[in-house]
Amino acid sequence: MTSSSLHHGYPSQANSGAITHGHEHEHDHGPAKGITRWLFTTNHKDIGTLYLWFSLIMFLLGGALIMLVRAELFKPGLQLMDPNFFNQLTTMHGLIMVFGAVMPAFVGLANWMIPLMIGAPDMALPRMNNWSFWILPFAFTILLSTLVLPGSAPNFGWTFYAPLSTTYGPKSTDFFIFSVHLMGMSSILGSINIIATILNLRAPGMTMMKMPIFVWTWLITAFLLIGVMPVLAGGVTMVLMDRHFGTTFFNAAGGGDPVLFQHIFWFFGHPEVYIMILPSFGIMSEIIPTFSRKKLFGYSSMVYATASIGILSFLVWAHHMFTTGMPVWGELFFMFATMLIAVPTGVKVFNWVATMFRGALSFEAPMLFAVAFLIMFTMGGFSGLMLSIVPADFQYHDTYFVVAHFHYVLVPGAIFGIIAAVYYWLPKWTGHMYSETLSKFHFWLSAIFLNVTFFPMHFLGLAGMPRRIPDYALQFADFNRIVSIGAFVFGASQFLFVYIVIKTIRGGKKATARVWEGSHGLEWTLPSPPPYHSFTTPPRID
Amino acid sequence: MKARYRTGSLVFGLALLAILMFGFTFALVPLYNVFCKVTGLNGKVDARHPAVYPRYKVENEVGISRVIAVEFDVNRNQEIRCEIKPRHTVMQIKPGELNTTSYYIKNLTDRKIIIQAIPSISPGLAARYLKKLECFCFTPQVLQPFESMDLPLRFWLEPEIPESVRRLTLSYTLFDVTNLKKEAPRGS
Amino acid sequence: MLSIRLLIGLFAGLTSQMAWADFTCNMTRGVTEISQGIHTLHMTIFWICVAVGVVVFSVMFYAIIYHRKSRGAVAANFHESTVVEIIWTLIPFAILVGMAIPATQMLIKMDDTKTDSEITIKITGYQWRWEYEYLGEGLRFVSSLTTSQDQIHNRDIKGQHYLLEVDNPLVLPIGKKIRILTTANDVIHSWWVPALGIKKDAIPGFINEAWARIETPGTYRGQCAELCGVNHGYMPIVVEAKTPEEYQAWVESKKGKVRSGP
Repeated sequence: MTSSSLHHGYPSQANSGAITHGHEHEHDHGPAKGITRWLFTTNHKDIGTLYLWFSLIMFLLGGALIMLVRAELFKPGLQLMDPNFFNQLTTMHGLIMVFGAVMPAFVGLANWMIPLMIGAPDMALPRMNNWSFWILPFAFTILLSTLVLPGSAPNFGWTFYAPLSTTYGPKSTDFFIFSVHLMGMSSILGSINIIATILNLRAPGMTMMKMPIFVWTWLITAFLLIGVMPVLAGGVTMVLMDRHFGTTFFNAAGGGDPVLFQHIFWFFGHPEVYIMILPSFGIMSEIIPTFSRKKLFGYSSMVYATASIGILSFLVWAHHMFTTGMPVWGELFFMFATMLIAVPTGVKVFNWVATMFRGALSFEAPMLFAVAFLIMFTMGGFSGLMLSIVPADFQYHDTYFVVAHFHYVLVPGAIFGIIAAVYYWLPKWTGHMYSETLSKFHFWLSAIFLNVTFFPMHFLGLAGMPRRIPDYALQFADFNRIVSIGAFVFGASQFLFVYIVIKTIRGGKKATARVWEGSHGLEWTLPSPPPYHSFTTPPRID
Repeated sequence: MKARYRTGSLVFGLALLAILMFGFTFALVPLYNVFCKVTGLNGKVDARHPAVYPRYKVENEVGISRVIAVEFDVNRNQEIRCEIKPRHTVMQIKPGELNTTSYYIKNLTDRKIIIQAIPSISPGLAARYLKKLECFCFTPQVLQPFESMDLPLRFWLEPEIPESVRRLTLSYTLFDVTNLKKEAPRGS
Repeated sequence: MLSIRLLIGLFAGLTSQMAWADFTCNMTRGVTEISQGIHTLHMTIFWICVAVGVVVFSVMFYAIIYHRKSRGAVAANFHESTVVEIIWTLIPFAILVGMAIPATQMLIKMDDTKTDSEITIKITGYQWRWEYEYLGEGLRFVSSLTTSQDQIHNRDIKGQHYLLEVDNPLVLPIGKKIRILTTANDVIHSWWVPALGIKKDAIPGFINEAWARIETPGTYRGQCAELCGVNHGYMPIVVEAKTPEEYQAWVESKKGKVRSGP
């Protein structure tokens, strides 16, 4: 086979592997040619590819913005920008990373892998799938345009508290609101699709408790999305109403309350961060057993633990609001509920370690990222536990301690999950092995320098440095310099990842169907790369 | 897969569900008022309507031995050009007793302004025990250019107020609502 | 093994320094009973997390070293155990209960409104400065950052208290229970002084309360802790705690100064 890539043709049905030769000759045409292929595709593999490229571009863009921030924070004093531009950068960094990088990447992985993993020919609603993706470039054009149009881009933090966003927000706030509505529609439609696919299109014999854990985590994530994205939409609409239609939801003058905004936002916001991590948990549950050559320890516990985390995530939102002046019994409830989430999360970590223990381990790139996840996500979990303790939170809240916490759960948590998944499945998608040597460079640079970047932030927060400030007192200077250097090297290392991905698409050692010695699952029964239409006849599962 | 439903009736059912949910959100407005009344959940901002003063029998129900310090505080929101001073900064209040104080307000501008005073009470748990018979915060107040007024406040603390409350602060924030499209928020 | 003992020794040495010294690595112990209680709670939770982490990561590292395929390891077959799952659900739960008890006690202590306070200070957050009002004393003044634009824009050398110095600090007496009310004039701000163990949001249209009894005279600095616009990083807080006699004297002289104008 000549080098086939994600962009060129797929092997036709007739030449594909054992599973898929069938009698459906109407699928022999393969993908369309040119730009119309990508605009009108209803193929889950193409759409997955679109989401993944989109999220990679957004990741680099969001990263570029924060490089500017870290350049300003390299030394005390204002060197490069005025404080308003600084606030715009931090706001847009958050919005782009959350809604443009992490979420679309997980959706892209879901699109590519869920049908393959359950033996389905495609997603349940392929045309809606196309629309779910194509909303995003429009949404982000609107959002990103605020950086270049006259006036200030959103500058109130990705959490856009009222009244800073309502009464005092710049004109671009309305662009931001419209953009969030579009992103929300994309997520909701995508989630409906995922649930319909998982519930209805599993191959015969694949009961729910036989599904790969990645499918389980996405099933639960999709329910979380459907539950909370409408709340965000409601909140953002209320902001629009307060800004332009004379309402006072968040304005005490008319009987409203700024804290109401925080309740609405965080009722969305907390499940949102679990939405950003659960698929990563699923990825770990695929990768670790493969490279341990041992079945995942405690499959049912992993399912129940994930479901518990999903349910609990709805009950803890006010732990972001401990300093707003809540009554004691409210603070106690949210403290206890938040601490409780550590139990199922701990169970998952123990199960992963138990999978590794007495396995036969090898450390290719996906496993390196998985081990880094295990260690550093757990560290992020510990700082989260510290944050849940209300009296201590009074000292941590809105400081760099919080920034350290969520970057430890998001970068080695969500991002490393995505990167691990890409290395894990890239040979399947492209038919080529990536360069193991280069990937190891990428891993070590990323792992070391993310710690150089984010570990000192714990100290900065404890020493008293607040968040979202462009300039700081002198006692914070040394750690800030270290953080900035770490950030620059970490950021630069990601270009190596882009190079590796492109290089692998264009060519490399031919990948087998199985790719990894310890891999199990339906996706590994297909050739690498799989045919454009796979599992047109569902496989039988014993 | 053979469809186990009729498309028409499914669409009808889903449309009905959507209409019902829309109606539910509309019904939430009176429903919330009922909910707050029944549970007494008012938090920091107490009900903005006159309460009825139950004439407590002094010996039995009024906490003669108990005195709570009530502080009177004012804030002016944004650049509202209005002077406001409470007549008393602190009063020693016996629960059950009806008390009167007032606030002096003066419009410092040469335009008519409409102000809305929004009360807030700390500690929050004391809020539901402070009842107002008459308060300038119930309705927006219109002030002509340079006009000044003495606005009364008649209130009492319910005897059930917890022992742990020794001192509470009633704080008014004055907002300029001249340009706000809505009237005073509906009470319950 | 020697190398393991060396590692443990190094680790203990480093962390014990961090634990007991007042570095810019760790939270301040502060000068109130509450801030000290918070510090103790923080360190307790921290060490529990370290202990759990050491146990879990040790097992992981052991597997990474000794259970490698390249070392000849052969994968075992076990993949579930209800007993083990129950054990490692219940033990963490018990540890959490152990953490929750002192945390609850501390929170209830901080909520104390039962003992009366002697002074009430009303603090209003503005874009971008604080206003302090001594209720009942008739004393009110604004407190703004005094660090010069020259210092901020790197035209002048930065002073020791760069970005943490104000024209009119909040002066408080030690040894007395002080009640603090916070509100805001425009957007949400947050009044935070680490040494007092207080962080309370200042919300327009509402008041919040907190209290402190300062044990030691001195100067304590804090910052606004809620994004409030352009100069969120430029509205610090300076508290000067004095003996009650010095405090009284200061109040009288300040009232005179405020009355007679700037």
